[in-house]
Amino acid sequence: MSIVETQPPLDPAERTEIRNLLRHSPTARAAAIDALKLVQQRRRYIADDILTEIAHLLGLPVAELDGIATFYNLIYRKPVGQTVILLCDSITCWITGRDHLAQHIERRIGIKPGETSTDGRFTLLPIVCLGHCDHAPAMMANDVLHGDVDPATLDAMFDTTPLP
Amino acid sequence: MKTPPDRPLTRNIHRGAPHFDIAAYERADGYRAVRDTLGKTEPAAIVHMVAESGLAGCGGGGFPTGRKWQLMPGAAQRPGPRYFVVNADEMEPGTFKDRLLLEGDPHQMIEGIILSAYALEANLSYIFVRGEYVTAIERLNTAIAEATAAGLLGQNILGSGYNLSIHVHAGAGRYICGEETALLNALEGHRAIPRAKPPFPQISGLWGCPTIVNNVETICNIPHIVRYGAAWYRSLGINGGLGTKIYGVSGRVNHPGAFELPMGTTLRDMIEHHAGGMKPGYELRAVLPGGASTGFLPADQLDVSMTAQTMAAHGTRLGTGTAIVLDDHTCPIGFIANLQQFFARESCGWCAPCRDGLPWVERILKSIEAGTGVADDLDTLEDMTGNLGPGRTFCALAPGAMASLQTGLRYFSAEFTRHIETRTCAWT
Amino acid sequence: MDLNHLHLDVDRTIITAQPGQTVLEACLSAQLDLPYFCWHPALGAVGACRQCAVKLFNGPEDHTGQIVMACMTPATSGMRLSITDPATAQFRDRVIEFVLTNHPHDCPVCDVGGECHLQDMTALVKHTQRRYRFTKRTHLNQDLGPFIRHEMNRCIGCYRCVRFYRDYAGGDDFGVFGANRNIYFGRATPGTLESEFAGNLVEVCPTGVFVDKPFATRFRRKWDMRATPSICPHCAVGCNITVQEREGEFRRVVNRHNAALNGYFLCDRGRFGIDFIRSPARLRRSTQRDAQGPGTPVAIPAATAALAELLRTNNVIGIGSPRASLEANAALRLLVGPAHFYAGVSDHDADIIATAITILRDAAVPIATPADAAQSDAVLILGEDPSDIAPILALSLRQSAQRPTSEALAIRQIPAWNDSAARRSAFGSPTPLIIATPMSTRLDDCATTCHRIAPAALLTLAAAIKTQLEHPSPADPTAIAATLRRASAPVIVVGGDSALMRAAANIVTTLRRKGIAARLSILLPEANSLGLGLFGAPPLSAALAAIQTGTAPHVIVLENDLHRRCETGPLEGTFHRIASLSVLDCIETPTTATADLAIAVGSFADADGTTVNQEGRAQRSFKAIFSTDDAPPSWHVLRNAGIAAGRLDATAWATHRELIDAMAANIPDLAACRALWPHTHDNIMQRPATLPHRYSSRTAVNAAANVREPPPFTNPDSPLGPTMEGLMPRSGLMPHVWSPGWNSVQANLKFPSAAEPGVMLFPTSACIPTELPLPHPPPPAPGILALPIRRVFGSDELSNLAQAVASRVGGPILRVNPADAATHGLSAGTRVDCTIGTTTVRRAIALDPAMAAGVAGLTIGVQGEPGLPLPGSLTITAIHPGEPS
Ligand SMILES: Cc1cc2nc3c(=O)[nH]c(=O)nc-3n(C[C@H](O)[C@H](O)[C@H](O)COP(=O)(O)O)c2cc1C
Ligand code: SF4
Ligand code: FES
Repeated sequence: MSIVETQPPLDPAERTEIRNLLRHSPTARAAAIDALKLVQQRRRYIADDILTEIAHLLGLPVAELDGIATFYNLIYRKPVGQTVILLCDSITCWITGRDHLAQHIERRIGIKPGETSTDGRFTLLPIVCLGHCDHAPAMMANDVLHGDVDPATLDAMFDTTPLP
Repeated sequence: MKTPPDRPLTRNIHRGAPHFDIAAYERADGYRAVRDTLGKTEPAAIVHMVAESGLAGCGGGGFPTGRKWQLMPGAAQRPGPRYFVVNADEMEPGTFKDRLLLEGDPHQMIEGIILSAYALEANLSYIFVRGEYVTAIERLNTAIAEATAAGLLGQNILGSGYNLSIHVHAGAGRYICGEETALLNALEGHRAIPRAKPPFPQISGLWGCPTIVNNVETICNIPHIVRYGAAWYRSLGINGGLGTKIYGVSGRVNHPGAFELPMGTTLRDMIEHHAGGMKPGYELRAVLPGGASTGFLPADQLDVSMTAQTMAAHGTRLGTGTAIVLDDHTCPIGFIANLQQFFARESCGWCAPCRDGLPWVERILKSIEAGTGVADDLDTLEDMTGNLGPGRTFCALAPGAMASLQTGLRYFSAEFTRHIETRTCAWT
Repeated sequence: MDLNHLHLDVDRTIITAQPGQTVLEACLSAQLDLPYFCWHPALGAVGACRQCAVKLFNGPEDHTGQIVMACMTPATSGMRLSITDPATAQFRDRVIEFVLTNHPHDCPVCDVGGECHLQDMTALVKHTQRRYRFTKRTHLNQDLGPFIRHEMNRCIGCYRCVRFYRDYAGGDDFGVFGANRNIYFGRATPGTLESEFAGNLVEVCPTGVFVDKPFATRFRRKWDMRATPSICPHCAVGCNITVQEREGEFRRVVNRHNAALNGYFLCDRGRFGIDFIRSPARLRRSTQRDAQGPGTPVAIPAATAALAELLRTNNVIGIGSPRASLEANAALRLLVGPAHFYAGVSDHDADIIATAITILRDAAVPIATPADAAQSDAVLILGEDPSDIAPILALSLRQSAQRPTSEALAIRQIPAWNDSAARRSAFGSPTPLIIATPMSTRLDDCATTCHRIAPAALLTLAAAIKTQLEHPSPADPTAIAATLRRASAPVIVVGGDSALMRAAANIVTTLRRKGIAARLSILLPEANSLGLGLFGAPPLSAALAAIQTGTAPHVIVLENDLHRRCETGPLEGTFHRIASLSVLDCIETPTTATADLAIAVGSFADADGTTVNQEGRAQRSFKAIFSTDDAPPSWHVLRNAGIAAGRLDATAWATHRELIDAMAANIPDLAACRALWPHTHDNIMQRPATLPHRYSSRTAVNAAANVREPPPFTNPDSPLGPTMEGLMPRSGLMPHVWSPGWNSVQANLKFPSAAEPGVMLFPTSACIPTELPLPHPPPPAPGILALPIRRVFGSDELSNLAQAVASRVGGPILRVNPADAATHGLSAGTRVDCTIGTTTVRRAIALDPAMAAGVAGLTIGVQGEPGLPLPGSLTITAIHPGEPS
């Protein structure tokens, strides 16, 4: 937890969207995951202060919302890079060489799973089976699914992604 | 009546072609079952029909769908909200069938939901989709909007007096969300911890109300059963199976993929015929027939038909019906270690044996794989297969994890021993 | 065959169980050793830890059986089970091995080593060898404030802490984070745990994750401490506690189970407030005024002689105290005579106490125990927030409110012990909790309805409820009467105002007349308020009036700081007239500071004593701390002075029992206290031993000072044995459990004490209570009506002296509604001077949006402040910015 980053408070648009979620949700709690995802979509991760703000908006205790946020894989409580590479590490992708891809990523941009490149462009995270086993190895990069990934696919991504 | 299709689930899904919008879906006879049924057929009659069809849950448990529905108290008996929930969490490693259905023919899914919810007298339905299925979520939302605009969803659907809304909930990622009671907790906005059963969701589900949870594939069968009848559905299967099943094969085969085939197709037929056999230079050693939670079938047992009964007779399970092939260039210990790494990480952390036992199993396997295993490890592993087995843990996650380990210890005992004795892995 | 019992075959032995019990409860009640972690008798079952596995056979032909969790399996008659089944026993062993994979095995340096449930369970399953050979996961600990130290690495993931803190106690600043083996129990960010029940984590955790922080600074092993049953002195609930000491030094307080009162829990004021007896503010030595002024040390015999001297003047008045025992008050009253004995409380408190007595004794209104409150099916709170005044009662009320209705459970066929499922059933069908108070309460979060109304309107509301009950009319805006009428055992909680108390009692009476088993719970201010009230003495103002009129008397004040009881003006205006002031107390107060004779007496833990709680339950506590320089109990000093003065004959009250007899003879209401004297034996071997039989170094403890083994302490007043010789009785007198496999506080789950229930002075009768006349409402006071706010930390005199509690005391506040604040140009945090009567105190504004208009709440009991005439009319003056606050 060495990286400490602060984010500006929720803006009116975000607040309105969360209130809308609340209006359409049977309980405030049931809107919690959607609210976290909504904010994360814009800010890439959920900083502590933001989590507190969201909790207040939802009327949930902060500890409760953080308990939810830290339970799920796709809510990031620490800063992530501009592109989050979710590289599947489940069985079929493992058979078909995902470890080599991970090594390639480390060689090319110097990050291991769980790390963010120093230029802030990429974060590598392992993910469970993406349901793309017929095109293993698979990965998701910023919500785009890639199949039959090979070093060339990765290189193309590394070469074309601009600095943030 | 149109000639019934023999591949009902994937009849509208064509490789490379765009998925059907509502107009195309209706042109292909879609929503026919809804139009013929709502307000015309008694809900109970549909439940009866589904029970007759012998349709079994496709989420991995294989529980008969009709029987599950019959366990829900009737709306007269239990007034108040009731829910129908679709399990589209699909995170079982090696499983990629629900995504095909969700992306390939979203309206089929919506039609299945309308009929199921109508049969169960539920007015609200949630589709719980894993968050990574971005395309599926988009298409479902579009399909729901289209269906609503067409008067197939909303208030007083087609003048039948029946109301239904469907909400798509995108998950935030955790395998345990697929366990139906954990899924309900996730929908309510809790940590996705499974619930103790009883009470079953049929009695006390979402917010304590009667709730049915079904898998995507299960629900996609409903329009066809309603339209063409139980007898037709049963007749689709072979070798003692009923209906069709979306099977799949992944691993080092020539054409990995998902295929809708008669329930009861043999594993050999699937792998050698539909998946095009092993890639050149690779030989098949064993298969996990239905996802990461099922036990190995060795290469000499490929001629079994893929039904729940035959798989059980061969010491494994049908699971999700999507097979993972272990080839001769892959270390079986590494293979099992990878599976255990998955289960250990995806344990929800609620019950002690699973939470603390699986990471231990994972570490032992990785240690053996790394050449630092000790002889006692095999006893420990064997011991775990029992003590993390069915009935011991709170839910079926850990027992599912033990399936590959238990059968693996049996079929690959020589490899285990060799790793420990030679302190190295021959495959790396 | 007894039809009310179930019969289960466990390993070929037939055990009996109560209907509704689980297999685990049945086995434990039958004294069978079955280990468990996640189950807790108060928290119910969730089936998470898998430790309580048993084999269940499906009929006589089944030889394979099936492993089930005993805690999640209802006991049914004819059930066949096995605990000893090898596969099941092996599984239980493995569960221990699993949870130990990340446990540090730091027992030798662990705070709960020797009284750890995890150790006990490990011993029970006979687990000896751990095969895990990989790295353990480790966590960082959090600073959780002055009460609790966090040692997360010891966690075994049973989820009890979060289930207690959040689900049971309603705390919201604690939770579980992460998933899989990386789960973490703590706060979102480090910081003080806010719930006043946080201290229970120490006992709820089956191992040493949550450590009693003050105790850790003077730590001793459980087996090295004397344990004595006692009663918490910090409020009128009278929770049962066990006080532990070694080497004459107070060490800690742990819960003593009492099913009717505190059950398994205490509030933090009780657990940590008792540290006041180690406070620097303890009055350690007696002093006397001499030529140099006050404060010259004097030995007890000389002090006693001086007191005797005063008694001989026959012009003595005695002022008793609601924080002193019945014994001490009785002794003073007997010495000075009933006509000269005054209750050292304000007029307002005296009025409330007298009304409580009228309701309990004269009207015979059935009183709700906290356990009744937890089980009630509808609650109405009138007037005051029980959260601060009677925390454990509030905890019980929360249980009632959070419980699903029995219909909600029945429709889902869910037994109440199935905790998660039951809690979910409460969604949409909560048990009614209606709160009608002038300001928001800390139970609002679980209330079904909150009405914020000023005191005068509350009275009208209470009267209207009664009318509605008698003559239901469709136009009932609050529907409170309808809710109460639908319930079968509703509880009305009332406090703060005597007229409101009467009106509430009348609601109970009306419900009773309708065949509804309603009960009342009356909030009273202090530990022995009711006990003092039963002496029927006039309040402090009467004493002051008496001083004003007669010849200047000698005043003896008993364990009371009169400055907290009334305004400075009247007190000083009167006291300069008296002949002399003598004070017996265990702490230094402004009153002892001005005394001509200040006598250092023992605290509640140094003496035997009886208090009467708000239900009218008389309970005994025993001398718990033994050291060579013990201060005597007040009544010993008074007796000796009485004998020296010739007021008592030399043999009077030679024992505690004789004092109780003398008191009973004088005060018939207290006669039942005689029954509190438990059976004792002259033979020390027949008494419950207060020292555990592993107590170490008994003979060497004082070796540094003296190698001669000192004789054991004796306490002729107590039925308890002072040494390690004696019995371990199954009763509330049981000082500690020491039994193979059951050495933690959890042992009382297996050895449920038939807790010493005390004696109900006004036992509930089945007949219909008497209706009480209501006084005419007083004319409305001009301006803002100020009401007292008693805070769990900060308003109680004794606990404020405990260091850890003192650090939890928030700044003094004035609570007003935002509209009233705006009219006065005030905003949150503004410092203001508040004038009530002739006293002005400084407060910070706190806004309470729900607060009734025209009413303000003022925190009371602030250290160093005089007693304020509350409720009363308030004048607010804003402090100018430049002024110091
Ligand atoms: C750990 C675990 C994960 C599961 N994951 C899924 C899943 O992703 N999708 C699914 O449909 N069922 C999953 N299931 C099965 C569900 O609990 C449930 O049986 C199923 O959704 C019921 O639908 P069906 O009867 O239509 O198969 C899982 C079960 C367990 C124990
Ligand atoms: S087996 Fe236990 S810890 Fe594992 S996922 Fe199920 S409930 Fe959670
Ligand atoms: S006590 Fe039964 S599972 Fe924990």
